[in-house]
Amino acid sequence: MKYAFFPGCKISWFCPQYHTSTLAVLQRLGIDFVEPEFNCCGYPVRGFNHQAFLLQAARNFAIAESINADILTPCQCCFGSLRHAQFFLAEDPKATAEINQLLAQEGLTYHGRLNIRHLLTVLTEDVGADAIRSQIQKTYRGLKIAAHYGCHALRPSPVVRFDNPFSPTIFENLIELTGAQSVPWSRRLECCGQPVAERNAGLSARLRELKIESAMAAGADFICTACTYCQMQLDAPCEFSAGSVDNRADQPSALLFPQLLGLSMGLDEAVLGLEKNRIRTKDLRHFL
Amino acid sequence: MLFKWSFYISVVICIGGILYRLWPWFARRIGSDAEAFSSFRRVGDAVRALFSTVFSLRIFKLVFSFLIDVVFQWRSLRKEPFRWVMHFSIFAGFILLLLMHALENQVSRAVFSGYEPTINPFRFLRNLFGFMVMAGVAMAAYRRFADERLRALTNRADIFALALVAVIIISGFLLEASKIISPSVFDRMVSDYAFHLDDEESVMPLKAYWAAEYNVAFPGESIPGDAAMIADGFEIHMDTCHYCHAKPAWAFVSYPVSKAIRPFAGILDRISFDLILWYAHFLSCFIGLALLPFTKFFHLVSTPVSLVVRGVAGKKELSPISAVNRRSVDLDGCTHCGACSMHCSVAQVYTQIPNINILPSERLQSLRGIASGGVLPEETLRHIAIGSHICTKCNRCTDICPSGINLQDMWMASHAQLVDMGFIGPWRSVPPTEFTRKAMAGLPLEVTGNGVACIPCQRIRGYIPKQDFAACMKCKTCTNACPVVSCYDNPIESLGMVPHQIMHALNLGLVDMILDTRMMWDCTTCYLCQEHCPQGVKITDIFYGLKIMQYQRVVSEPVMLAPSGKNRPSADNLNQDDALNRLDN
Repeated sequence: MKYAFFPGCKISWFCPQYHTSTLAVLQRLGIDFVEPEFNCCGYPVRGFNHQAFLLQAARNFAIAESINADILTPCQCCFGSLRHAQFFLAEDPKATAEINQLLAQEGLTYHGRLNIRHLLTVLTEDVGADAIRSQIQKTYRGLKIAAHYGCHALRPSPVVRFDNPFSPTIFENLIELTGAQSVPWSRRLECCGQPVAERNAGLSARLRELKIESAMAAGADFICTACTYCQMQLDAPCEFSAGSVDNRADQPSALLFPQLLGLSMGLDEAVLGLEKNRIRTKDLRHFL
Repeated sequence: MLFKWSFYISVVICIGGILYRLWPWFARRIGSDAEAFSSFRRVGDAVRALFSTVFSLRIFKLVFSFLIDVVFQWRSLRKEPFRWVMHFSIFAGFILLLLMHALENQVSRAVFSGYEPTINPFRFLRNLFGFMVMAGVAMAAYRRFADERLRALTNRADIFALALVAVIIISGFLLEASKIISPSVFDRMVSDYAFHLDDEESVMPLKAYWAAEYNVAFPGESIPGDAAMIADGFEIHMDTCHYCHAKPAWAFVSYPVSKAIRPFAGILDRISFDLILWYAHFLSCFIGLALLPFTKFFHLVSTPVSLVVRGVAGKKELSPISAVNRRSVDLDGCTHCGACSMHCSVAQVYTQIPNINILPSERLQSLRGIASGGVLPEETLRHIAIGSHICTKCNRCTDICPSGINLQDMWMASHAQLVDMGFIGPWRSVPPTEFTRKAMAGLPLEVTGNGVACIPCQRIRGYIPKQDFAACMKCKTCTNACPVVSCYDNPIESLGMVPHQIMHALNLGLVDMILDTRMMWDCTTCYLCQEHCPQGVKITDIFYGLKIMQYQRVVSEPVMLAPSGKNRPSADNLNQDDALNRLDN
């Protein structure tokens, strides 16, 4: 299957290491992908204008369909947003026809035949554990990882169909292929707080701290993310509430999954961009 | 006389205008950090930056950037080859015409001994350069016309710039053509340079030769066309004219034009058409020169600065004061080419939300208003803020901008500034509704009828998904699952309402009351409530529907549009009732 890589808007400026590390991992695993010029997934205008949201998502679908590719995105917010749009359009042929009328001005059509895949799903279902294992050169020892499931990939489950929304395992299974140990932690399915970062910075920071505290209490060395927004949010310094934790220096830093996987595959560290992560309380290389 | 004075006046206006346009580079304020620096300090920083670049190894970077980015326009070629061919034709053609032709006494005669405008290669090159400019102008007009989206963005300034260049070049070609056929010009040349041909009879062979070979028209005269006469004329020509006159066919544009207008030579000569064109030609040039600081032509000054600053600064982060200066300069570096808006990640939104500030090329124009420090109406600011909010800061416009403008920094700084001004999305700056104000003040409420307080359920259902709030049985599972609620010691006091209360209020039709609660806007859309709801109420999706309602409430006033926008989406698009009602079917 050929994939159209859908990077998402935030990656280029806010998290370029996610882009480079993901592509490096995909290349190593021999996944066939192209990079057409997509537009925004529609997530930012979902609260403004439903039609604009559908149009943006459908334009991406049409672009991918025109080259007979499925969409592969590393961003869970893009993933959720695109799946929502696809869900709405599938439910409503009249809306689809109207969107197609708008797309026709650019010579595009959405037929409704493409799949939207998240990076983790492609790695699990299309590549498979054996193929990934065969590319791993060094496994981690004594590395404890808190897997952070992003909300928009996981819920609402009837729309996104990512994994069991109450007890997902897809991320932990992938993490454990690298030899790292995934730790159970109480807030693993909760929100990182990024969506309200601008509207209510205090609340956003509080949600981040609660998550990081929870991961720290579980003894995690890193919180592993597979979403541009989550990484932006969790890869930031925390102001912990007094008395809740002993040592700020122990804050588990956020790590992108392709960085974790890529390093154990022996990929070029410059491409993985570990030094671009803002918080680096521990050095991942020491666990190899 | 007119030539001289109009030239001096236009030069004075041009220089004065440039100085007038330079001052805002140190006075404009984009970004909240800009307030910290006085214009005086900013001039100092610019001078310091200039000197530290010129007197260091970075001078090589500067020269390199000037050659590659400014002269060769590499940034344009890299991303948009068509636009590069178009722009480079105009640029190169115009600059070469300026040097070789307009400044012929200062440049060409100094560099090339024996320069005459009518000998080759100059006669040919003048046409070639003019042709390049015209081809570029035609490509530019086609580019703006062919793409519907770009046509909609094209404004009067864009058209004026292209039209003026076209007038300059076309008047030049016509001038040359009318001089080719002009019998008066011929007579003048003969009396100036061939004074030995002092009677009509001795000039006749030359006339015959020039009429046959140089396309001069002699209306009302019968010029013999026999071979012997022409041969005689050729001899005189070789003695007197040949050294300064290449065959007019080398003027490959003007010559065919001269053939076309030759039948009208009599009238044209009587009205001194060549003189009229001469005035048109130099006056249009001087008008362009005088207006340079006040039109798109100012990009000849500002864009190279933007490009070289980008070339020298590279990806290095500038000091705050230099960043403020750079933003000010960059505001002028824009040529309104529209490349950013053509590739903008959210450009499609503009077809549904007719707010011109969604598009980067247009928002940049609006930012000038904020930057100049003038007081903009609340409504204008809100529309800029909405545009800024829809922008995803994806960096693509910065990557593509042929002028090298750091748009990413522009958007980040202006967005932060707008947020500081209270524009957190479109909603925060909206005062509470009448209903909430009354409720807060303890006044009696009207909860029935069509007032602000109560919105008929039918209307609400139009905005929200199929399986709606009516199924809610107030079990509070949503509220218990909500991570936002759990962040507050006293959630109802802090948030106004919690999720199950919102569902209940919806059943009562109290939509305006909901829209004023903090819960609506503090929702992170994590979908925990919706996933957990035993009744399958799509709580988060309902929240999205309510947000759309609120957005409509905010923008229900006439939407501000740039005066230039044509073919823009109609205001009917604002009415989303139809689109959203479908979700309810």
